Amino acid sequence: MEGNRAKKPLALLDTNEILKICRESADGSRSARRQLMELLFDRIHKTASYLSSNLEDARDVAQSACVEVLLSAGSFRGDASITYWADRVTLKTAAKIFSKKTRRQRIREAFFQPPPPSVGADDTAGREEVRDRLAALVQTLKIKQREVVLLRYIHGYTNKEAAELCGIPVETARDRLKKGRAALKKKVLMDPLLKEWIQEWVEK
Amino acid sequence: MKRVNDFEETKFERAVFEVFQESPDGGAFGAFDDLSRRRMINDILDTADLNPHVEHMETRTSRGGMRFIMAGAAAAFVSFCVFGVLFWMILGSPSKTKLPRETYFGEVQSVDGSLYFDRESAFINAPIPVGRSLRTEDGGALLRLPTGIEWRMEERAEARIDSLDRNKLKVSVMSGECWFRVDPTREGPAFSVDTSMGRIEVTGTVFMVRAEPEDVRVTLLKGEVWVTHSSGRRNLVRAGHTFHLKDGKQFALTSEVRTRMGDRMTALDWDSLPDTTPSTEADVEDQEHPQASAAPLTEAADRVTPGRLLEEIQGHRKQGDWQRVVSLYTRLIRSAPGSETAVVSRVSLGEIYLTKLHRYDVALVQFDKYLRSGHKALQPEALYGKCNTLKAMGKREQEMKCLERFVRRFKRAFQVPDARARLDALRGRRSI
Repeated sequence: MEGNRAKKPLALLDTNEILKICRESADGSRSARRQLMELLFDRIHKTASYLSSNLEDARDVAQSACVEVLLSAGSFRGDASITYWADRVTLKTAAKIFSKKTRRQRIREAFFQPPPPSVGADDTAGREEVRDRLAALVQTLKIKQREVVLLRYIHGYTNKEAAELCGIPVETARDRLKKGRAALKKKVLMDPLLKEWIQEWVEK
Repeated sequence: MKRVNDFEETKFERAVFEVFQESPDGGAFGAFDDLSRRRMINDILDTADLNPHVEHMETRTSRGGMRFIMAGAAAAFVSFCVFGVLFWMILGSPSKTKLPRETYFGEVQSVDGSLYFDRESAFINAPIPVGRSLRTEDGGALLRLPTGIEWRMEERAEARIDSLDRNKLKVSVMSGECWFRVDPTREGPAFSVDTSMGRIEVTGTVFMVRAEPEDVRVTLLKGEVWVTHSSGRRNLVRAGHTFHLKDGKQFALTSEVRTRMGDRMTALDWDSLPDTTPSTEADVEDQEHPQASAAPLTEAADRVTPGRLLEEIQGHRKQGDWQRVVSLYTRLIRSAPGSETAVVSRVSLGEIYLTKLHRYDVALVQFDKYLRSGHKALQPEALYGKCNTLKAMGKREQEMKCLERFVRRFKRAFQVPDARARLDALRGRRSI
């Protein structure tokens, strides 16, 4: 039974099955915890990677968030999707970790710049390269703006959901998104390849 | 042509959104390859196993709500302090004598002669104070500590519970003879016994400490303990041996001493503890030559039920003692070779050999044995485990065949995307 359950992707599991896995995880079942990790690891890792500005931090956040998800799996009640719940845990874990950082680290991070675009970048660069460069730019945004931009554009949540996940009013979320978008736009226009890509979009 | 700097926000928003939604995304730093992913998940599971007492943030309310609660709590605390000070000033101190605050842990189970807490006599059911000297005179005493530890002080012994917190429970034996029986499946703070010449770290075991002015001896009846000499030297003491801390020598117990100690255990009713003696010769042979695991049942293996062994395995998994876990799994398989538990255990065993002990040849044998058993529930895990083992061994051709077989047989397994990606990489279509 467990074997069959483990084989299913997340989209095919119904709420009761997910709740059962969560309950067993909270009770300390190793196999249930493994299943939960197989389901959520990639999502958590992705969220953590956009929230962090370097690989080391991303792994720290991802690992802590995964452990937190396993230990608090019992509190998942099934009234929202499991990914929504996991995102919330990841955001909180990241906030907790970043708040512990020393001032020096924060200053260093504030000056973090993405790797410069290669000279004479391939004009026909694919969507993946555009996405990678955009991802690097998202990482340079201020953490509060980064959270909202991540939730809105990368995970596709609505403003209301993003606000709920961050624990802030909708107006604040909207404001942060606006500022984040403006900052991102400014950075996009400074990158030749992204500028060209956005130019194509405008002319469509 | 429209100037690029003036385009509408919504268009920009749509463009960014579409880019992120269209292309597969493994995160800002790319996706993990399957082996790293598997290792990271294993690390996470181990970490989670070791942190049962963490306070979970999910039980909290939202950040905004939390702020209100914190503010409320702070306000309540300040008011409490102000009123407390006023009350104190008006009414004065309720009592001029200060009573020392004591911590107690466990209780006295029985007393044969006299037991003292410092100079006070102690009686049956008395709680044991932490940090005070416990002393027996003309008879022994049996003490029970809540986390699966029984402690027998023989006559004219002196000891003390030194410190106790969430992670550590330390007992000091100053003089005389003390016996300890520690349940191997216990949960709670790590238990250690200090003597004037060194420390004994305990998991699950039955042992005796005799502290004399010129030497300290540790005698083990079951399980194993680590003894750390004051100089920092560490020794593993096994069951049926006695260790002298003074000169660091270990001796096997003579049959006469064994009999005497066996009698003592019977008198204490401590025979019922499961034997956690590590690696018998057969166990070691099993680890080195897994094919031998179908050997006939031994007496030792017969004594313990599979359920109990699985409990023990769980305990050692939490501690990350993988050698011990492997030894117990082997024992479990040997105790009932044809049972479903034994067959399924081979997959776990293979995983441990692969990811924890990096003994790929043995891991391969375990996965193969499971696959040949005809048991179906864990076929995908076993076959995928085999593929990963071949990958770790650097056998690319075989790994490719294994992955092809896996993808063909288990089209809906959750590992299939990873398997396909790895296949592509092996075929040179794309690099991971």
